[in-house]
Amino acid sequence: MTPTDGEVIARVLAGDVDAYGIIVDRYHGRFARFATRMLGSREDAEEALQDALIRAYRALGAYQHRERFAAWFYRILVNRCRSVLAQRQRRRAVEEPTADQDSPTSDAGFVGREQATWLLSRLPADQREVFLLRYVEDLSYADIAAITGVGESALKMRVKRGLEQLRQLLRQGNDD
Amino acid sequence: MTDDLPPELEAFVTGLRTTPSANAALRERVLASARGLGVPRRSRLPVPRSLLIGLAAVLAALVLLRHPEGRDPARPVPFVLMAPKAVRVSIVGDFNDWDQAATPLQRAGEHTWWVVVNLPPGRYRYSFVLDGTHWVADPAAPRAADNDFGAESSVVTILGKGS
Repeated sequence: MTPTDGEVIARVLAGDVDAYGIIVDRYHGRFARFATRMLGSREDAEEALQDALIRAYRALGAYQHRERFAAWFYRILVNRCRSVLAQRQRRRAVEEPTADQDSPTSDAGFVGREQATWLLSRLPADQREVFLLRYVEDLSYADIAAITGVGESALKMRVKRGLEQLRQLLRQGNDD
Repeated sequence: MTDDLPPELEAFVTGLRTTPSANAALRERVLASARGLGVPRRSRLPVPRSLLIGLAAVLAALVLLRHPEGRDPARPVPFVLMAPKAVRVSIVGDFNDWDQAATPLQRAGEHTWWVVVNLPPGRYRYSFVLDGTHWVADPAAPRAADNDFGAESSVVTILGKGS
């Protein structure tokens, strides 16, 4: 029978350090997906995820079993991604400003991975974050509020703005 | 698919839902780090406030005795918040992986909550979390300038030796 997250974590805390690999295997896909979509770079995402997994491991003793592991871990990962974005922003502030990226073109319209990444990168980070958690990770607003620390009404407003912007970008892309 | 998603964005979201394939190298690096760190320590049980105050004082004294002029040690940093309506308050920040369960504040009187956190010199972003959902910045500290996500957060800077 598949052990629950709580059972796996109890094994780790009892000394079976390698059991943490079960958690990594179980959640790698969705966490890597979120980090990759959020940061728009596979390398940055891998680094952020690795760092978050190690931070979570170190904090495992404080994990409360009444909370779902994924929700607990998302908080750590979301903050790692925020830190990466903040570092990028600081770097950009001291470098030459870059020209706005053009939309990648495709005869097939907005279907490719590049276009999806480009579209997401056009959203402000706060809107991208809640859009991904809501529609790609399928989390409720209550869960997202607990993960991000932002109130539900503010989250809904961000989603509304993000959706509006995405629709506009899609329309522009399809008109080109 | 989430039911409030506009139909014209469904294909776009479906494309975003593909998950990256397993990453054996990352898995191995994480486990290697875990083995190096050893078994994580369990969090301690809540202790009475009077004992916390005593422990904080003893720790502060020990730190001062042990490092009168030496390397920069961690320092006990008190955090205090007035939150009369809160049932529980915790502090989350760079120093505890933003874990709401890691650092609960203790009630001191009717309106006040407090906790002492040992922090090595550095700059830390943090927030208070009221009743598990409502994040507030520390009214007694500067706001984090690099926080553009809407969740209120503050900054505390612990100066090192010679700073």
